[in-house]
Amino acid sequence: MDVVLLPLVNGLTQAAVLFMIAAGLTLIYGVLHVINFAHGSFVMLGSYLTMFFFVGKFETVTGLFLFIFVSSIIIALIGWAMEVFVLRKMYKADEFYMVLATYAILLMIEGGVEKYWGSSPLSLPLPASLNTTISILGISVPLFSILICVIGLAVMFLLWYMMNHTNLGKIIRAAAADQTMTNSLGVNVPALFTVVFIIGIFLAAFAGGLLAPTVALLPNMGVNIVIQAFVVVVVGGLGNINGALIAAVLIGVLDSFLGFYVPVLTGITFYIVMAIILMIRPQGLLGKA
Amino acid sequence: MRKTKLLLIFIFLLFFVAPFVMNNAFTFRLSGLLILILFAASFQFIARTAGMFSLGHAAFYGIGAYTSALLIQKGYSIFLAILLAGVTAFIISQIIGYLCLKSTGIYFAMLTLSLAQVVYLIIYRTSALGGQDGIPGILAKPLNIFGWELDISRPENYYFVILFTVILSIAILYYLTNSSLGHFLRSIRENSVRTSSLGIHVKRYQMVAFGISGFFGGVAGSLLSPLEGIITPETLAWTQSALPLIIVLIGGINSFWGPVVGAFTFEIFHLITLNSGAANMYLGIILLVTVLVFPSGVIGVSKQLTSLIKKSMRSKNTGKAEELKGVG
Repeated sequence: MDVVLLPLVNGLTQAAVLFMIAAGLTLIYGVLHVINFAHGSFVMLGSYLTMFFFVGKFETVTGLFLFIFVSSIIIALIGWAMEVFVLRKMYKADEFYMVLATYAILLMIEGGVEKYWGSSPLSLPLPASLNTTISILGISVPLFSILICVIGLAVMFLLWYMMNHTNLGKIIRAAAADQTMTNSLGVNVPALFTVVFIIGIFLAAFAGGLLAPTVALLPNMGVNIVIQAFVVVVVGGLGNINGALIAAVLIGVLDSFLGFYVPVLTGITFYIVMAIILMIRPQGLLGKA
Repeated sequence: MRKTKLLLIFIFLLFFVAPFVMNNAFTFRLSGLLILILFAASFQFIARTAGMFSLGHAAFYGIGAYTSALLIQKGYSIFLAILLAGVTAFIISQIIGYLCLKSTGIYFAMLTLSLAQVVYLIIYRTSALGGQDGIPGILAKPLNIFGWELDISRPENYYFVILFTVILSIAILYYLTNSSLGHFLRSIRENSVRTSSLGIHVKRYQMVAFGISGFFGGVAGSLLSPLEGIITPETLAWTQSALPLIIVLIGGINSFWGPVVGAFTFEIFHLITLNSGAANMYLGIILLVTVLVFPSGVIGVSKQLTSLIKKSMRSKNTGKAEELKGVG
């Protein structure tokens, strides 16, 4: 049983984090049409900032979740500045310039973190009460993994509720479908862009905070994360949150299982799944043709 | 046009005499710069001429570097190693191109990025290729030119191999860009549907363009391994794929000479920020300012400046003429 359950839990944990990152990325693409290369850097910044507040100061469970939240808010504010001072000036430019602008921001954040925290790996130890395992079907599973899965589910539910049952969600969907029309109906589209960008960055930073206790913190960790998130977004169909969810679970679990049985394939599964799916459906699983 | 030719000959002469006048450390840097120019030029061929934004160009660069490293270790001569490295990169480019050319635009960019990442991970995990540590101790065999031996394991002599290869490659790329192939590719970039309705096999031309670009990307990489003496998987990391993009943008995306000017500018910035401890941060700031303020790059800005100066000179002259008239 443990040869099935352990990779499954690992895969779902990976999927939960990936979904949070990819959901923001795909939301931003769907509404703003921006391929945000800096997205992974905000994840990385979320990890570092949580570590900065937490380690040696408030090493309790409450402290951990409080600072994941506080860091995410601070980073969302940085995202706000980025949208207002950089992206807003470029919406009419070629997609290629947008890629470069967000890549420039990736470099700035990575360089800044390296200058401040150095380039050697740092870690955030889990508080003792979280650093245990619980028994499911006689197999001990790390408690924190289960917690990440639960939080992932909660975020998924909140996003679904926001998109389908609130005014904001309706406006976001309308803007994603037709910007000009939404604008002429009296919606302040530029303000909406800012709101969507802030939500996306908040999700990325939040995922980064959750990720922090499970990985070694390195300034260049965002780079790998953003590619994986892109794979999820593209496989799911650009701009589609439900697609991102399906893709995150599919890819996360497949990667975990294959990596468990054929360790040399860890990380490669991502791209193989992507290549196969895109060859069959070039627009992604739930993307529009 | 004659002025441009004279300028090119002058620049070539500068490159040629540089190792005789400057010290070896400078020659080594210049070698790296020449490789960077070719890498960026090979990227620009698909990006500008064919309008295909590949984000996985480091795969070809790295495959070229690994191929030449292996061949040189086996005792092959340098030019054969360079040629075969180009051919290997060409073959891989045809596989990647076949998989990616089903999609367009940003999907194409993401697919090339991912497949390049697959190549990176495969090389990273192949112990026969040294895995994470790469292949060290790559020493090129002395070059035999009509009985005269040149010890190209020394960087100051190897420089001439690089100079020759890069100039030949750029000349070929220049010729191809302005050939009928280049015109077909530009028309595909502008409107692929209309071009295909003219009876042109769009995908075949795109594959050819991707192959040419891959070939010269491989050639650029193949030059790198004997220069550095060691090759690691980092040559294929995806940040490396962003390098030609940055260089071409800084130089000027709309000019054939963008890669050359861009590589120079990039290298100067790189030298200035090298010891700051956060080179990436400054590179990011430079890139952001370029994108926001000078999207046409150094060449675009200098063109604007010269036309501005010319205009002001002209208005000055006419001003004088009017003054003279007034006196008369």
